[in-house]
Amino acid sequence: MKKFSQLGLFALTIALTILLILPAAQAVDFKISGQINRAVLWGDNGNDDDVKFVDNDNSSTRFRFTGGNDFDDNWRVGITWEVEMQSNPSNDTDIDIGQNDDTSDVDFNERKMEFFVQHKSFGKLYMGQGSTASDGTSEVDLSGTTVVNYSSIEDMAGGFNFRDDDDNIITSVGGAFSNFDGFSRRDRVRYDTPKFGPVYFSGSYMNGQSWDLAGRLAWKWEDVGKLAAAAHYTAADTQRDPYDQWSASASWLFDFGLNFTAAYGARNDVEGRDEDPYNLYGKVGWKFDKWAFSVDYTYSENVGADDDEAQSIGVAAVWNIWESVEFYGSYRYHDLDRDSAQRDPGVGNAEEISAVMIGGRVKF
Amino acid sequence: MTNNQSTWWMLLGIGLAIAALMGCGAKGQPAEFEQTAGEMKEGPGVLTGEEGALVVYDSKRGGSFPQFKGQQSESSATETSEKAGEAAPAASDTSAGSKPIVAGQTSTGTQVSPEAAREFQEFQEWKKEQQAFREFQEWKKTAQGAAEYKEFLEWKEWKSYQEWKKQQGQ
Repeated sequence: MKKFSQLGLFALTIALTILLILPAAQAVDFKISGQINRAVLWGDNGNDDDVKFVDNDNSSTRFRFTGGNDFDDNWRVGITWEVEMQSNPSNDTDIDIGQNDDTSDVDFNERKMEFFVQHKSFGKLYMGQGSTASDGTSEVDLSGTTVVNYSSIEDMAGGFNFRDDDDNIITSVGGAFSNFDGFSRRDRVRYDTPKFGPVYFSGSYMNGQSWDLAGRLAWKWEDVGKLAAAAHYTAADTQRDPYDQWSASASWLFDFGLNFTAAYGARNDVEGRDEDPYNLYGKVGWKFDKWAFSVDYTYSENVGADDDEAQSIGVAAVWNIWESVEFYGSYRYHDLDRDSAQRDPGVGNAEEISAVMIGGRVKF
Repeated sequence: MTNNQSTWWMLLGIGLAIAALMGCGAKGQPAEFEQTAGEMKEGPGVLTGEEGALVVYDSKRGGSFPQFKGQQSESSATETSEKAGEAAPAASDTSAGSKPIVAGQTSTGTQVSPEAAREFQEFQEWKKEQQAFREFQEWKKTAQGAAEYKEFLEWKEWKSYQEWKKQQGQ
């Protein structure tokens, strides 16, 4: 543990030293950008239905500052500061069906606050809050519909609760599904290797002595299509993350528009659990002109509790009317089968949840 | 164990698909890995145009707010051309023998400096180059363009190899 902390400090020292000894900046740039992504979300939990006005958590409302210095032809040092601000996030249980108020706290949430040092031959070193090596490894998707549907299916209506026919809450959609997408964004040090042909590898180390490793691949075949894939593994098994986990996802896009996406994630040896949770995801899509359509299916087992079986089917359409503006619509069906031994006494099985989201994302 | 088996099957499937494509002889090349799910939309912005970001500073493009500078020169160019448009009829109205209105001079008598006229001309040429560059980028994306561009790169590599060989021989 101490050894790893020393390693982190050593890496920081190296990075700062490099900054100091490098020649003067050759090119400097600093940019501000952002997006607003709002939607109308209708849901039906089997007992009641409701309409919500939400921030689409598939790709939340946010803005960011980016910038960098190029030093000679090889070095680049840059920063990313990205924050999100969501009013009624679509995955927040405060907007459950039957809740009439908006979410009370609307704050800035950190996404990325990091700097990086990059060398053309030696790779890229990140320091700060940002994507861990494993972030996104379950979410490779070339369908063009990720603004409303991708393997993290709970982003769309994760705030809705599964209820029995007496309206007793069992768990939320967000609590029943997971794509086991690594460690998301954290305070960490991360290193990306340079590309070896179509492949590069990453590793990160973060608070709680957790670590992860990942690999990514992208390859394009002339007149045929493009393949992208990623996978991660962590056996950190720390107090912060007391398990080992891995996931992989791949997406194939033919030049004529047909595309396929698959993802798998699993968590092993979770403390206090007898069964290992895992998730399977598959998607078929079609892209043409300004349109993208997709149908997906996800199956999660043991995610919320031992012997849970949850499944979901989604249909999505995205219209990129202008390059900076897109409109989308999606229908998603959710089903949870929880073992009676895992439910509170007197609580029945979950009713199905249907949800429809219609909205738009505007980049500014 | 079952989970691990499923993952291995998936990875094996991906590997087989790649091998099958390679076996079919399809020409391929490494591509840029782009994370789209959950990330911010790429491309232009409604307020920031093609850039997709407000460029506060870019040393390669002349310092602070190059976008606005571009717009300013564009609007001043428009104004200049409007003024030039006004100047043309005024010039045709002038009777023979009267002093013609020279380029850069407006009907209202406002003088446009030679530097401004030259800058305007340069701006027009830059705009044309931008257009040509965009066409080049589009061309590169086409099947024929990609093949020709690859051939061009290989030719360049061969040329530099020849140069190197020549230097080694000296």
